[in-house]
Amino acid sequence: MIVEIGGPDAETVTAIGAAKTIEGRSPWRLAFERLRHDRAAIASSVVIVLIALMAILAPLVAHLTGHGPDTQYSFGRSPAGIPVGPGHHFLLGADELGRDVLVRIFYGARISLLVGVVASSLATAVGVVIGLAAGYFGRVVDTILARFMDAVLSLPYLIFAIALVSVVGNSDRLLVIIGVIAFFSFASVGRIVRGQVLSIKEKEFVEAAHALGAGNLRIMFVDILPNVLAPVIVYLTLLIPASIVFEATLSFLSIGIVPPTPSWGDMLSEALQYYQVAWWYLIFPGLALLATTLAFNLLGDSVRDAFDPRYNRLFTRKSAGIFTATAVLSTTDEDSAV
Amino acid sequence: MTRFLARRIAFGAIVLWVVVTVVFILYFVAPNDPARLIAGRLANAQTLAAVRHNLGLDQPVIVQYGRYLSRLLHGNLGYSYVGGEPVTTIIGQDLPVTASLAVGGALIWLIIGVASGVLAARHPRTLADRSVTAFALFFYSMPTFLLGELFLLVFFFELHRLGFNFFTVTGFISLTQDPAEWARHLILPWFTIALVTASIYSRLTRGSMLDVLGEDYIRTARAKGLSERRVIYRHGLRAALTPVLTEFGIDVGTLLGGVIVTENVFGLPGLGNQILTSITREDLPVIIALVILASTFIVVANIIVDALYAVLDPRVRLT
Repeated sequence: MIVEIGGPDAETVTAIGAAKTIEGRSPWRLAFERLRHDRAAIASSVVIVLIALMAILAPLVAHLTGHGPDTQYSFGRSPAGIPVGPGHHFLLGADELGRDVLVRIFYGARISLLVGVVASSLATAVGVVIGLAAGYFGRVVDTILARFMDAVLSLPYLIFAIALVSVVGNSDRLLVIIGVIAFFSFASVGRIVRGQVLSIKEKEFVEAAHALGAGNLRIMFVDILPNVLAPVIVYLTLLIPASIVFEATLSFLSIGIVPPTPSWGDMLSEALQYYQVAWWYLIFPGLALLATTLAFNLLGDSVRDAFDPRYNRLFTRKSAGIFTATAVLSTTDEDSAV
Repeated sequence: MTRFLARRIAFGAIVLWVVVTVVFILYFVAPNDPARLIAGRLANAQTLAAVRHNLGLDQPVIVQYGRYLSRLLHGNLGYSYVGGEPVTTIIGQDLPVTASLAVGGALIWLIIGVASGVLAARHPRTLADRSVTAFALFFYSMPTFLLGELFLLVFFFELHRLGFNFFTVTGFISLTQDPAEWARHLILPWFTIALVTASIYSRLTRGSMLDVLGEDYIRTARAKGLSERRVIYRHGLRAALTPVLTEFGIDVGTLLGGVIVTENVFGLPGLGNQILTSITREDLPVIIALVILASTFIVVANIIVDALYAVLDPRVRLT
């Protein structure tokens, strides 16, 4: 069923070199084969696995160092109240309250990954459903949904997020943050899906499904959806780092995760007061955050290359742009403006 | 053109109306009690009732909504709960900082983004192209606030210790007062905003430029003997800029977000810091006014961007 679009042409197949005898392989299989041979993809996957391990093993590190994530140690600060640097007591130094930066970085990975993965998955799911509905039903439904998505995309999202979070207060902050991120991210997925569905629904196999008496829901989710999944997965991998940054930014502005729960954004916010006397407090959480977003973006880049043989033919693998998703977005917008 | 503008302005007005209504519901109908915020936690029932009456909060919701809309339409954004001054005065004070930051940052990001994109597209698959790609990926992954903090640590603090005092982050000097000092105080914040977003434009310009340079009319331009410069900039870049412009329309919101974060990192007394302090003080009229101001700005900017298509690309007819 899936072989309909993105079907690889002979050129690509030979380019991969693995095809000795010609055999039918799904685009998914091909994409996976390409990923397996992409060094950037492997390296970034390793980093992501390491960060996931950090999140999982955080209690172990707390146990090994003997330092709890929220425990304040008097020997963590000099008599003048300045945090103690990396050394014997604290491998990566202490923070302004005498807490262990290393342990807090490990615990912070939990929040970042949780929010990043859950918020972007939620946004993608909502975006796919709305995009499918808009593209498939067309007419009034499309006009309303597409205009709604345009409006969401053009909102000053950070300001709105700030306003929303401030209304809600401190209870269930994690859920609110995930909801806010998902709300401001689903529209870009929705627009991409809508654009794809608009062309796919005109194909013969959709007509055939109609003729066989398939209902709208069946055609949308069984016949059309598998054909738009590739760009959706690409976008999902790029949405995860964006969501992680979004959460970190909210926490940095003190409207995200409520202290003392360790989060990288909140640590970096406190670090701003102390960077002149405690560089480690800024550098180590910063490195953790940057490594995470970089790894996810690099992986997203590779996934996109792997799924998009057309891009491969135009440029070499390595140098293909990292923002096809945005490019797809722009072309749809152009249509509406012209 | 006129019809197009009329339609866009109508749509913009609808978006703004929705924003205003959502804000109204959030702040006046939802569990919040503005009267208690003003009167303080210790106020007795009588004081609360008086405050409510003064604010018109004892009226039916629909009446309140009507008053709120009519006040907005008359350009009255209300008065700060904390200082009592008109919100328009606050905006007037802080706007120059935010405008300086936003305009300068956006200019730098467009220049860096487009220039590096053109460079990469002119020499695809070379070292220059790869470096641009690597830098773009790096800065794209960099959260704005982290870049700002690293700038502070390296260019401000460490260089100061080495006796190099060019970069400074102490406050804001107005443009009319001293243009050179104005720029010197803003250079780190500008680059903080610019570099993260420039990476997107670099990739976008590169891709779009490569597509355009493969077109037949570019070959024709070369064949008729035009200079390479003219081919690249007059014929190529002009057509390649359309998607860049689209992206810019979308990114106006990102720009405002970047402004809030950057003002916070560098302690600049602009609207971004204003909204953050207003939130900790629960100063509703200021928050509401700033949300509406930002939305208006974005709606207007998007209409301008759409109209610019026709200027940039003669093939585009606005209907």
